[in-house]
Amino acid sequence: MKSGRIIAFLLGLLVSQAVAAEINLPDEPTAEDFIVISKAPSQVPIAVPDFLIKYSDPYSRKAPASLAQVLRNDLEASGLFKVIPQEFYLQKLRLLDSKEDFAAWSMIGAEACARGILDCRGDDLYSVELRFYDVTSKSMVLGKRYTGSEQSLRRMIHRFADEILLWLTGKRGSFETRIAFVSDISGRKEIYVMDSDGYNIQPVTNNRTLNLAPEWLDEDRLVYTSYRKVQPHLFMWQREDAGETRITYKTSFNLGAAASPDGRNLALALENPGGNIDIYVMKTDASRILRITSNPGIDLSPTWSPDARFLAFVSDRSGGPQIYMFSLDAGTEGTKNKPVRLTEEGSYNTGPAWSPDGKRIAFAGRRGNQFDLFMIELDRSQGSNLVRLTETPWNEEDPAWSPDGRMLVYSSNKGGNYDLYTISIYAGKTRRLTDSESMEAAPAWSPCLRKEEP
Amino acid sequence: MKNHLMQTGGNRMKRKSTIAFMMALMACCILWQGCGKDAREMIEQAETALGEAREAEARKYAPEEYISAEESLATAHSKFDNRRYKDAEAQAITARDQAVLARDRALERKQQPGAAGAGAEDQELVYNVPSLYGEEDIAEGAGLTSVEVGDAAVVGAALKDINFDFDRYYMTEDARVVMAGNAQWMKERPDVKIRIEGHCDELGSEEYNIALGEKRARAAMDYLIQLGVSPSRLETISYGESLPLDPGHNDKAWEKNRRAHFAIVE
Repeated sequence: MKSGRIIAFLLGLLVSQAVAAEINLPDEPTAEDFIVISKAPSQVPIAVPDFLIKYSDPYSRKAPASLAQVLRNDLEASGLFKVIPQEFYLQKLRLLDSKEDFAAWSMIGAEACARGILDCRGDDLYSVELRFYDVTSKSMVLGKRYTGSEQSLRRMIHRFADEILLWLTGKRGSFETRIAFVSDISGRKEIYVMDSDGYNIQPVTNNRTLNLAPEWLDEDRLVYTSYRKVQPHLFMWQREDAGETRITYKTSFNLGAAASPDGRNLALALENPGGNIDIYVMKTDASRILRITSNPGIDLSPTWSPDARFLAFVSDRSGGPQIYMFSLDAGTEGTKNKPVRLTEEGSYNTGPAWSPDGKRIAFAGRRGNQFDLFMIELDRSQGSNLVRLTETPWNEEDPAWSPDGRMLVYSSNKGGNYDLYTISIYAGKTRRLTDSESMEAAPAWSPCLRKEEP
Repeated sequence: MKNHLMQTGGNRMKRKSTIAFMMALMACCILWQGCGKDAREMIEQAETALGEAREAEARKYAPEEYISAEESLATAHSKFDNRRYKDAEAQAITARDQAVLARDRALERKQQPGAAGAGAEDQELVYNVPSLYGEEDIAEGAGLTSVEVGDAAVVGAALKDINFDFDRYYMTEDARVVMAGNAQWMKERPDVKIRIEGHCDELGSEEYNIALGEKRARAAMDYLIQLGVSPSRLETISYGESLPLDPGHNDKAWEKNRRAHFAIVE
């Protein structure tokens, strides 16, 4: 059978390598053989059986058995897949030497299938072989093999989930990323980072004062506001050496910096000597400070458009906090260049976040007594351009976009105190990231850790 | 005949000047009514308040506060006489607040045995911002709000918090009375410097609340300056919603948390 030969051929190509290596299988789909299973918003039914574990070394330790669950959770959270529960799977798990029984998968309604084989080489060296099958055409369309330490196993699975999304839609997934956030678990508000699924929480600050509003400059650097020098100042954290640098010195009130898409500028709120709080733009070393808004009200929480030509921000100039948009082309706000108000409904709209593709602005709006998540669709020319994402008796606040623009991470007190969740904007599928007695809020999603290969 | 004519002429003259005088008087009354009405009312209120303070024996039990109120009222009167009605009104408001303060302090102190005039007992007030989990030690640079008043020469209480309406940063009536007391306290201790903290309830976004807290601290600072405290003794900081006085999630807690707090810094 043709598929058997392909599999044998491909297996023959697999060669083991050193730490964190991977192999790209040769048959990347071309335009002609690009098989469309299904495009969002309808979800692809997929089967993800537990991974097979194959040990070379009989004395090796027991490897984590939950890797398949990592993949299942990622695929579900993306909103593009519907994972068929394991109790419905007909076939027993077999080693992948023999051909995949596509008939069995079709019978339970699966259109795709993802398999994994985990191999332990002892001494904290693992390799994971991951395959993604199109059940309808009975072929493997994506295959990767990763090698690394036990600690990097989850990351390998996240990377594969991103590869699946890249293959399926042409746009890479966001699972191999980190999310920065504020937590008061230590008794004071500090900054932390974690994986996109809530694991591997790592502290960024530990100064026992007050730390807020983290934003990523790029996949390695984080900017945040901290009170460790008495007044709120901006600091930068470097992932490589976990080092902290202070950004602002002269200005005494620096709040909520957002990095421009090219990572060279920061937009933030500053207080001028007269006591007015306005939006300013400056370089990442706090030089070349340029005033943007000029209004007696409070202006803050800026977010950049992906082409860096606009800022959206919050202002209470009309009485309560509302979201405005301003073009940076014409310089400082003046009589001929005024910000445009984007939110008309509701008395309190805040936390704007501009999507990576530039088409939407997500925000939290209070309706009644609770905050819910909304999106403003910017390219809809007619009719109401407001989309409501949540309508719950709890608060959903602080939305931030995943780099692929498919999901928002946000903070909600649905579980009693504030925890972080993600929601896929197409399917509305939510995933809980933190589950603690403390408050977690103000999340920010890093760009992908894996750079695209040319 | 000549005498009679002169008399008639004289009467006519008198009538004209009477009419002119009455018209001038009416004009003055109208003017006075129109421009000075608010100021007048406020001065009357201040007078009433000062009267109440006298009745509460403020001259004996709260002499400094009473004198301040008297001085402000005198200034209000002189501004009024010079037709500076807006200034007069403002001064009268201050006078009234100071008089209310004097009366309240006098009433308080009368109840304390052995308290009279400048011999009031020392009062020690310690204000610790509670952390979220009941820990007691305070981090450097944030929430450092311990206020001790142990000075033997001190008359009266230490600096008091003021509260704000939801999503607002203007001084309420109650706030202004408290601020009069705080300004008094500051004036009696010219070497003391303070950091004014702005705080918010937990409603709304964290970032917006930091800004709102800053506006509140700023408003309190500006008011103290207006009451005569030197700006070089004042600085501001905002903690937004992050250091609540009351960790509850209800209206009562929120009301308490919307405040400006005055912390002494060396």
